[in-house]
Amino acid sequence: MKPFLPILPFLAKYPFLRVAGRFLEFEFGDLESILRSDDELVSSARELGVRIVEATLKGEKVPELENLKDLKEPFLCEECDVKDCVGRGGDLDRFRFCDYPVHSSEKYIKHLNIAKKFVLAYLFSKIAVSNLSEALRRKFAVRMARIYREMLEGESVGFLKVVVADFGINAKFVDGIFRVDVVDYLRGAVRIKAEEWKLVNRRLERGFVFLSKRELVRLLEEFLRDRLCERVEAGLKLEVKVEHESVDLDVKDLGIKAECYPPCMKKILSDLRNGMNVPHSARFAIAAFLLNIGMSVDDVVNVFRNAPDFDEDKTRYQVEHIAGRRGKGEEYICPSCDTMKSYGNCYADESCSNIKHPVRYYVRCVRSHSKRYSRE
Amino acid sequence: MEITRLFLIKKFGEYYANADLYIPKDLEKREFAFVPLEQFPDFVMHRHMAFSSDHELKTYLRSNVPAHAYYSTAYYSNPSAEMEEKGWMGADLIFDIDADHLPKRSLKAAKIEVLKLVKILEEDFGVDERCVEIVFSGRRGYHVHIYDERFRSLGSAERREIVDYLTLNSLKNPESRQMKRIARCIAKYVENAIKDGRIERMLEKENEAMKTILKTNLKVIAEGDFSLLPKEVFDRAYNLCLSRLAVHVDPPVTADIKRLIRLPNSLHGKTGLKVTPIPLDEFEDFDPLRDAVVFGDEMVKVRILKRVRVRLKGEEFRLTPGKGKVPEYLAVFLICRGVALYGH
Repeated sequence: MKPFLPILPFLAKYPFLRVAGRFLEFEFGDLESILRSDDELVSSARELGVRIVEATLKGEKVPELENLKDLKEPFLCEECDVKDCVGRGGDLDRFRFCDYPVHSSEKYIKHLNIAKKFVLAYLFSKIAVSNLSEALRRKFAVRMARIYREMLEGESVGFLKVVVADFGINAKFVDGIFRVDVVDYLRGAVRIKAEEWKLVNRRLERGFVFLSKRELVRLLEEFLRDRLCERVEAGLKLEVKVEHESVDLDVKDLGIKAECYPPCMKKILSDLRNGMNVPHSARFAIAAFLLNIGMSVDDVVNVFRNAPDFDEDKTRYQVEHIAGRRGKGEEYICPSCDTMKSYGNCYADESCSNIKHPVRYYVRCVRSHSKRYSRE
Repeated sequence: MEITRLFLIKKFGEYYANADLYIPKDLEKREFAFVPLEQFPDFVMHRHMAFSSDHELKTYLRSNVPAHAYYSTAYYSNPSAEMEEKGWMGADLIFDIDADHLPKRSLKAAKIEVLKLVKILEEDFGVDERCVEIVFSGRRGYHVHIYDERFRSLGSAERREIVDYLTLNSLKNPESRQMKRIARCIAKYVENAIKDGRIERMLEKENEAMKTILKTNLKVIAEGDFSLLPKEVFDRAYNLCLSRLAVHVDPPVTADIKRLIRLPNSLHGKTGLKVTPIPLDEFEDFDPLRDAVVFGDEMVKVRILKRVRVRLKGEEFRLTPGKGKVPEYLAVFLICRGVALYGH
C-alpha cells in the first residue's frame, strides 16, 4: 500500500483540495495535534505559510511556490489498471487505498515529504489569513487563485476531473470538451464580467455548458477564490505583517453634479420629468443611484413628483426604505450595468466604456472634472 | 358597494368551500399573503403568513375569503418572520409571461411564448417536462414554475443570466447555440425574401448579382457567416429573428428570489377567473376565457357602470350602462373589473 501515492505531487501544488484534508488527518491526526506538534516539519511549514501570505499580499513571489511549478508528474491514476481503490472509497477517499504496483519507495517518500510540507503550509496560511479583514482575505484569495489557475492549465484532463469533483461540480469530458452542469457554470460564471462568459454566448445543450480545458480552469478559478477566502477556526493567531489598507474616498463626499450622471440615469430622469410612466426597476435604480451619491431623501422624492401615479407618502416610504431608514437599516446599492441592461434600462454610449456600475461612472466623471479644474 | 362586496364574498366563499386546493411543495416553508375581500374594492395585502398543514390553509381560506392569494416562490426556515429574519433556503425558478409586455399584446401570443419557453428549457437547460408547471395567471398571462431542485439555490444574478439567455440580451458569440438559431432564421428569411421578391425592395437598387450571391450562399449564412449580407438586409432580418426567437419573459419576476406569486387554483380578484394550472398536453387547447371560468349561468341582477365588450365562455357580450341581468360568471367578472355593481 502506498497511501495517496498518485495525488502526492498534486497535493503539494494544490493543497486547497479537500483530499488534502484527508491526507493531513491520515498523517497527523486532527488539527489539535498538528498545532500542538513540535515537529521540525510543522514549524518550518508554519513559517512558510505566514511568508506565503505576506508575500502574496505585497505582490511578491515566493521561491518555494515558484519551484513547484516545475514539479511535473504524471497523474498515475490515468495509467493504472488496478482500480481496487475505486470500490473502497469515493472521490475523496479512494486515494488512501492506492496499490499502484510500479513505483520506488524513495520516490514515494520524497513526494510524501513535499506534500506534507506544502499542505501544512497551506493550513497555516489559511489560519493566518483568517484574522485579516475581508478585503485583505479577498486580495489574498484572488492572487493565489490566479497562481493556481496558471498551474492548473498545464495539468492533464484526468487530474482536472479530480479537481472538478473536489469542488462538487457536475461535469463530464466528451470528445475533447468539458460539459459542465449549467447550474454549476452559472455559479462561477456570473462573476466573470467578459461578455463571452454570459450564458447566452455559450453552447448549452440538455443542461450542460460546453467549455474548453482552458475555460474550465478559468471557471475553477472563481470557485477557488471562494474556498481561499473561507476562514478556518483554529483558536490560533498567526501574526501577519501587512501594510495599511488605503481607504476609498467616500462617494457621498463628492457632491451632486448632475452633468456627471450616466446616460441611463439621465434618461430615467428626463422620462420622469416628462410625466412618462417609468417601470418599477428604473424607479428603484434612479432612487438608489441618487441616494448612493449623497442626495437627500427629500430631493429624491421630488424627482418623482411628475410621475403620473405620484403619491407622496408612498414614494417617501419607498425612498426611505431604499435609503436604509426602514427595514434592515442598510442602504440599497444602485443596480450594476449588467442589471440595468437585463431590465432594458441601459442607454450606454461611448462615455460608458470600461464602466460596470453607474456609480463608478459618476465617480470617474466627477474626479476627471475636478482634476481639469484644478489644473486650470 | 356593501351588497356588491357581500355578493362577491358569498360567491368566492362558495368556490373555496368546494375547490380543490393547490398545495405548494414544502408548504410549511412558504410565506403566504392575502388580500381580503372584506376590504373590497381596496387592495390591502396581509403578508408574512405561514401554515403548517393543508388543513390549516383550507380552513383559513374558507373563513377569510380572499380576493387575491399568493405564496412565496422561496423556501424559508421561518416564513412568518419579518423579511430579514425569514432565513432564505432557496426558491423555485419561475417565469412570467404577460400579454401586455409582448410585441403582440394578446393571450394567444402569450401562449406561443410559453411554448417557446418550455422547448428551450427542455432542449437547452435539460429541464424534465415533469418539473414544469404552467399556470394561467387569472388575467393577462401565464406563470411557468420549474420545480427542478438543481435551480433552487441559484441567486438573483444567476437567474438574470437565464433571463438574458432567453431574451437574447447581449448575444454576441457565433458559436453559441442561440446565435446558431438566429443564423438559421436569417437564412430562412433571406430565402423567403428572394422567393417572394421582397429582397428587391430591400436592396437599394436593382441588383441581380447580389440576389444570385445570396441565393448560392444560403448555407453559409445558415452557418453563421453574415459577411455577405448587405447591411440593410442583415439589420432587418436580424431584428426580426431576434424578436421571433427571444422568449419574452418579464425579467424582474425571474430574478426576484423572494417573490410572491399567485396561488394556483385561487381566484384572481380583478377578474374572478381561476388561476388555472394546465397540464402540458392540454395547453394547446386551453382557452382562458372559457376554461378558467368557474361560476355558473344563473341570471344575476347588476348595474352596469360603463360601456363594455367582453368575450367569456365563447360568447360575446356588449353591455351599456344601466340595469340588467347577466349570467353569474359574467356578473362576477364585471364586478371584479369595477364596471358593474350587484343588484338593481
